[in-house]
Amino acid sequence: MSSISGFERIRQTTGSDDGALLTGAIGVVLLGAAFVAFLMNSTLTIVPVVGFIVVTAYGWYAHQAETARALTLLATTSTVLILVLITVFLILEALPAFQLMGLAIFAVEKPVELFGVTVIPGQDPLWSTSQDLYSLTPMVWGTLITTALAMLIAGPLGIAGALFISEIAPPTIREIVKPGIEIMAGVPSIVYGFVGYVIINSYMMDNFALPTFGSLFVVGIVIGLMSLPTVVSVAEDAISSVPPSIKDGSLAMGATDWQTMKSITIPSAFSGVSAAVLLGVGRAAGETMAATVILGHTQALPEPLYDVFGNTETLTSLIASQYGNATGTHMSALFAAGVVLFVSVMFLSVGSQLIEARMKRQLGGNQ
Amino acid sequence: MSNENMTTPDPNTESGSRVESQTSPRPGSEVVDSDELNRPKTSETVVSSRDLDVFYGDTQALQGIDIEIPKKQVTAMIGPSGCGKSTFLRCINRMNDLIDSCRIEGELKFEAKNVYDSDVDPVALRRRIGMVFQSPNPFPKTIYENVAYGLKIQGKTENMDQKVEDALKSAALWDEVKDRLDESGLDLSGGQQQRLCIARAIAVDPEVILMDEPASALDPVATSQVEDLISDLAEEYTVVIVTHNMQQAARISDKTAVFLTGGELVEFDDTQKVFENPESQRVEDYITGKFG
Repeated sequence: MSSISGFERIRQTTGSDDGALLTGAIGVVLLGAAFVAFLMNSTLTIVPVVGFIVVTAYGWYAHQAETARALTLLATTSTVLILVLITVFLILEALPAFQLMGLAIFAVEKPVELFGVTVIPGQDPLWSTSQDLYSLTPMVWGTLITTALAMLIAGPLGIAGALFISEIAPPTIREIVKPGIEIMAGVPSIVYGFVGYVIINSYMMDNFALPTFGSLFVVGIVIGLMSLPTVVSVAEDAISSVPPSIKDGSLAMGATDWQTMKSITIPSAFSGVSAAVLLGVGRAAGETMAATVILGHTQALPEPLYDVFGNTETLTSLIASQYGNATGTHMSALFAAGVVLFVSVMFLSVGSQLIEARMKRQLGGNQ
Repeated sequence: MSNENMTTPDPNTESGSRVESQTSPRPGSEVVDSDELNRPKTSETVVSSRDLDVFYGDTQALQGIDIEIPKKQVTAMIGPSGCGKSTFLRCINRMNDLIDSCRIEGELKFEAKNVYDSDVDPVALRRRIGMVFQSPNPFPKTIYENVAYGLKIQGKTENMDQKVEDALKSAALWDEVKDRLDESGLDLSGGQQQRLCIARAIAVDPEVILMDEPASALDPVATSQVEDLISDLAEEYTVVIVTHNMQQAARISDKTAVFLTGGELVEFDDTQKVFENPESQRVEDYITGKFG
């Protein structure tokens, strides 16, 4: 085929296949023009886009191998580029709020002083759109509390469930339960949120005489249950990927099933299991619908701080409940909440990957 | 449980006198070192089976196996692939329990007790019968932890350092690893890993060591190290080894059992007899390479 010979020629002497190179160059120029025109909000954007499609179609017909490779590269580049653009946009939009508030974006009610220097400024009220005061502290705290509660539920239950499915359950039960749990992961979060609102919220009101409808505690439970399938599924994959030969080795030593699970299987799967838990944390921290539906949206710290039955706000529910009627610095403050969430989840993700890499190196190390 | 209560040791064998058949040179004797030939033969039986049938689902893997495996000797099981020799090995320590479709009929005794009796705890049984697998399977733990594992799960934690050292010395691995006991067992070479697995098995001082083609995944140098080790082990332990390699069986074993396709035990006798003058034509054909 001509594409193979073309490929060979490009490998031998670059530039000898003028047709393919020329087509590629025209395609890149047109795509760049389309992007610039799009950023300038030009009505002529359609012209280079159509041109690019035509050039790609010609390239597919005349130089299929080169075009296919160029398109896969393009797809990858666009993904990364879109992420970069979103990040830049987020930060640009949040900038006015950061400029207005300075350190006070994390203000608490009374200033915290260390050696006579104000480390965290004080401010009252913490969040007031009428006074243009935007401290994200209550929302950061709310997110932390709900995430911690969610992990207290999803972590132990998830790992225990994964262990049961992969190590204890008979095959027939495993074949039913595993897909069932994976389907649960696909239930939309609004459904969980609604169940939390209707059932758990009412239950808590009726039985615990809570002063307000909705609390961080209920959100934590619902998000925990929501991330449970993800934790179970990923942890189960990790546990069942432990080679049977080393489990046999342990059993042949006269270890009981439980000793084998405890001393061999779980330590060997540790990196995968911790990745599962961190993935669950990521989902919990970023979860929006449940918190928005259940909480009562008070932008203040709970009193006392550890009052998990307080009715405050998370970063996500703040954005979801207020973006509709926000303008100016208020809108910018919501973007700032987005930046804080984005950065923390990113650190969580990088952190989980570092832990996983370290565990992989250590797999076999002292456990 | 003590083995004295079921077997009557022949007084002659206790004095270390050799049974006649051992005196003549064995096949492959050029590679047999003379120590090994001096190994006393006893008539004590450790593992015996009578009319043992094993099925995987509808397929019969072993048919009416009768065998008496002698104490403190190396018994080799040879035969073509799929003849059931590994299946038999895994029956002895009930590792076949882990296979759902596996069904066992007949009698398999270890120290006078049928291991498939309902009151036998497979966990307790496996603590007395060690096993070394086909490919080395060290735990993803340190070298020290690998050897100490069996001691820990059995609660024998006193003098652990000494026991670990002794086991590594018996497995001829101590000199290579004594300065790196806290490194991962997975960082060792294949041959070292297999000797680590042997050390792990003997650390808990079992009565029998089962070996399922322990050298088949190793290079020739590592193979000969493991073979030397097996010969030494027979001074302390009863060793049952499954092997594909007939020369290996001839070099290291005292008794040889030949399984042939269909799961039959066709011949079981002194290794020299089996290799030089087999009773059965089929065994002779197999050994001389006419089939299998």
